[in-house]
Amino acid sequence: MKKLTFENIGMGGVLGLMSFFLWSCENADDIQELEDSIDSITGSLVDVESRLEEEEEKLARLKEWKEVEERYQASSAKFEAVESELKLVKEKTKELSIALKAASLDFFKYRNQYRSMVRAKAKGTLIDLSSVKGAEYKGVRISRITPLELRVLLPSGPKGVPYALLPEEHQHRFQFSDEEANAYRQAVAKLRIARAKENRVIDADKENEEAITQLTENAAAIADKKSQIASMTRRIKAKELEAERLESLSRQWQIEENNSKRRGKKYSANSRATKASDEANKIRLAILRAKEIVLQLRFEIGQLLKVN
Amino acid sequence: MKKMIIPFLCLGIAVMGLSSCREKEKELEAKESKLGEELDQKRKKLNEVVRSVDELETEDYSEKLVEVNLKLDALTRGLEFEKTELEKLSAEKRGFMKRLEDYRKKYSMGED
Repeated sequence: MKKLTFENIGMGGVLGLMSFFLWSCENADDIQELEDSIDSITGSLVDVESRLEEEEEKLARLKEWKEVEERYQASSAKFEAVESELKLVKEKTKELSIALKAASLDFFKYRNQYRSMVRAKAKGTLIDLSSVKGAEYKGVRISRITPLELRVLLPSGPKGVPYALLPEEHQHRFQFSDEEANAYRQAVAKLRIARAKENRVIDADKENEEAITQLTENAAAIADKKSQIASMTRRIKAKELEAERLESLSRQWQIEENNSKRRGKKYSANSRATKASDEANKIRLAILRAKEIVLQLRFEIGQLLKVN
Repeated sequence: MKKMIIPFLCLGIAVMGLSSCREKEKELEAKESKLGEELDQKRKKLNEVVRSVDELETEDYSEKLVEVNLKLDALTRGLEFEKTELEKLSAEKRGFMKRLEDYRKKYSMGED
């Protein structure tokens, strides 16, 4: 009985051992499944990580672009603001140019009015010209005053005394000046040519009056043209600096482009360089046109000042 | 009695082997769970990044920026220049007005 019991226990042990083996095999399957699952998760993780990396790069690039876009929007807004401010300033400049022309005309008109008045009042009065070089004209009557001379009535007949020979006191009193004399000569010459063309006869006083009106206008026109020349010259200088700056930028970008090409890198400075160069060329053309205008203005001033 | 030693020894070894298997299984389960969590987090992050990319849809303005900055520079200089011109013209106008005023004072039409 004792023997049988031990045998039974032994058999039970063997059976138990077999059950454990079977269980162990089942566990081994579970482990295999787990390992497969881990492999699959790891694979997915690698995929997700790689996609995440790509998307993060894309995001970084887009963020950079967004920053550039924001800067572009800001620059565009600033550009519009500066453009409208420039428009306003240009309008003001235009208005001021007209006001300046009017102010200069006011001055020349007043000066000529004063000259005409003082000379008209002096007509018929007596004057002592004893200090005039090489002449003894005492108590002589003034018959007419032009920007060139003082005409007096002498017992021997009418005589013109050039203003340059008059004493300073009289020159100052009748407002003689070289500038006026030159302009007057030119105005008279023009009037005479016009008169000859129209075959008209004009008396000396009328001629004088017309010449004075013309020289007032001429003086204002010259002042205006001189102001225009000064302004355009300043503009030309500023534009030349601008063109030089753009050309330098263009050269710099071209060098960057060439260096990048040599290193085998893709770089987009070429279009910038072309744009800057095109802008510089446009400015150079505008400068040439402005220089032509300045030459034309100088020629016109020369014509106005020309003494025939 | 001797016959009993071997089966019990085998039983002992099997119990130890099984226990080791259970430990490995637990370890693997923990690893799987950790990796699963990590994968979830990465997916969540990926979704966030993709959403951000979609929201940030834009284009490259670099060239346009260079162009607008070039123009802005030129325009700003132009504006500065026009302002200076305005001041100069204003000074010129004041100069003529002053000349007229001085001339009027010196050579009044009311006097000879």
